[in-house]
Amino acid sequence: MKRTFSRLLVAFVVLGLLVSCNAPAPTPTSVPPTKVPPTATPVPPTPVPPTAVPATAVPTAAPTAIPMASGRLLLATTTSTRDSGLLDFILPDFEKAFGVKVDVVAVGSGQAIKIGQDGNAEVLLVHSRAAEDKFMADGHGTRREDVMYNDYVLVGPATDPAGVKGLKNAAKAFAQVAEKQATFVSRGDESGTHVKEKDIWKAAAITPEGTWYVPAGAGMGAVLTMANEKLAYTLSDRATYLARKAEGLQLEILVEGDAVMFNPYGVMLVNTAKNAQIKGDLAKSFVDWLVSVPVQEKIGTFGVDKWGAPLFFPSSTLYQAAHATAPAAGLKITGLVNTPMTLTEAEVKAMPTMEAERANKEGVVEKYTGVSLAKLLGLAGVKAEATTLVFVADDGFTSEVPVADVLKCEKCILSFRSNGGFSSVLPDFSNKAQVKGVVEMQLK
Amino acid sequence: MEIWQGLAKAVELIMNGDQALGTIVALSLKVSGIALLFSTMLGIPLGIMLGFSRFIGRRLVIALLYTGMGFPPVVVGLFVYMLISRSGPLGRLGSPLIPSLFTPEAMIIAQTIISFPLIAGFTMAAVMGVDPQLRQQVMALGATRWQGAWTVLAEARVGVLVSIVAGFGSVISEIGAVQMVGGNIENYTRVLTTAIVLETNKGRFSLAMALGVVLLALSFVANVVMLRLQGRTLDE
Repeated sequence: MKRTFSRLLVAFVVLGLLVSCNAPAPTPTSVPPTKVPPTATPVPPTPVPPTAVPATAVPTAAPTAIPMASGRLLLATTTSTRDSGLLDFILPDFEKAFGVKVDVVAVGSGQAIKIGQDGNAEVLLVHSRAAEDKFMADGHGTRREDVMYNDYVLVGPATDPAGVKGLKNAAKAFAQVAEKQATFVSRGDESGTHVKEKDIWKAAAITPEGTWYVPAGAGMGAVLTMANEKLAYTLSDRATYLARKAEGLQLEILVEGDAVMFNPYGVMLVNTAKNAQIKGDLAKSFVDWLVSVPVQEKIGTFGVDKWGAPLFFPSSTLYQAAHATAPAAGLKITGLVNTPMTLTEAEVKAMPTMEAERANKEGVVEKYTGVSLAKLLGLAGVKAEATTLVFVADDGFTSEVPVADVLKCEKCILSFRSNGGFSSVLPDFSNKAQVKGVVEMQLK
Repeated sequence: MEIWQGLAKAVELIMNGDQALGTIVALSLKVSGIALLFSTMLGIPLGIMLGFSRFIGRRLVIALLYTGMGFPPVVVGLFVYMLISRSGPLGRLGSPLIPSLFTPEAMIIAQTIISFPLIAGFTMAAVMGVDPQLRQQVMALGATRWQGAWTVLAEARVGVLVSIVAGFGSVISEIGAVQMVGGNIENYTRVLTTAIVLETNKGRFSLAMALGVVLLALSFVANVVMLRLQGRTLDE
């Protein structure tokens, strides 16, 4: 009995020693006869031992039973998409359809973008528009797409010591919190939420500092917990807040609906030129999948059953195109033609398509898909006496071009607009000839 | 009251053999176990060598080893991260032998580095703790150099085993490095410590508690097993 007890006791002592940390305290059995405290050693903490080890450890680490990172796609994203449960809701579909595993590393937007810059991830799903644009401009990414948006809310204790409840202006609410020196927990991690928070402070012309302002350096979930414990205010994305609220968070939404609190998410493809190990094709499939209409619709349903309202609102270009109220305009070809005709949009789209490229006002070359103008006009049969082609837009705008030039032009098309309707794209013509929302082509 | 609910939930999850819990525990054991294997293979020979031999630079190596024992795991994590990052010196080689970031292999490397100085240091201390006359005596009786070393090692086995337990304890309960180089990916690099932090952040304290209980139990079991293995109790 006594033996068993002392055995347990020893086990506990060792256990406590180990679990507390890896402090190199002497154990009961091994008392180093030389100087014990490693901190007392006169040698500076040179990183020599760590460098020496990977060289030997690496080759041995490879043939272990753990599968290597093949058939895996690394998605660096923000904590909000994971903590809200959205990724668990949609990713299994992709994994099943493509037979791959999506590894999610959820960090602040700032770190996620850094991971992308270093080429350590294939895809980024973040919400920090300025940083995203910079990422693309610096050539780290090859493609960026809108995915969805949600919004930020200012949450705080129900007692609302700063009296901001119901304010419509986020900057004003922030100013009031600062004035009352009410505790405010900041993400403090350069995440999208933190950047947004700093923007709002800037709009309020306040540099937050003092004991009331707590930069936590943690994810959204942790910050909400902290604010809850401290009876503090914090800026949260609605999704994470609602998810946490359902699990007993006591903070309340005090300010919402200000346009500045809008929170768009974008997906970006990391440039494969960075590194041969980046799986570009798989990453492209992922982005295509994420912005596709069915997945977007699924995103729009997430959270409805649990909270009665969606947490994220889909916003990809494809989704918007599919859900825009398509104008029933069609296309008329009138005037000096053999057979004046009215075509529906579907009829035009059923014709053979071609592509045209034209630099837009910013000088960026854009690609358009549509139907050859010469062919369209040929369908109606332009009369010999016709000299001018008039594009009539849905808003009544008209623009004239010489018909002979158009008939000669092989690159001139009537392009399909992403949310229905047509635009004229005449690459070598003046800007005036590029008409959006063409509903009629009149020959005179 | 959350603490009692947490404990109750913990017991329930463990009793029901919860699958998510099982995956996390298995991953923790796998990663830390393999890391421990490597650090044992490296640490024990080094510890024995330092304990036995006298050579130039020995004190420097010992000083470095002690520094390594107190090396903060997060710093090791940062170091490994920067080395094997695809823009880092090793990662940019693109060699299949260099594991990518956010993989179990990366975690194994970090944990090996963390536990290796502990094992080497404790082994050295145990070997040096054996009466030096013992070795001289067996050598005088005609033992070879290796037999002499083996005798001393056998005598110091408790200390050596403790060094392995210490190594295991340091890596299984470590979070800074595994979070950084592993990325806390579900079913892949999410281990007990990172899962506890995640669940706490999500406000799911009961699951965090359950994981904590498992972590404690694991360390405890490891110690009991070690004590059993050595074939005698410490109070004998």
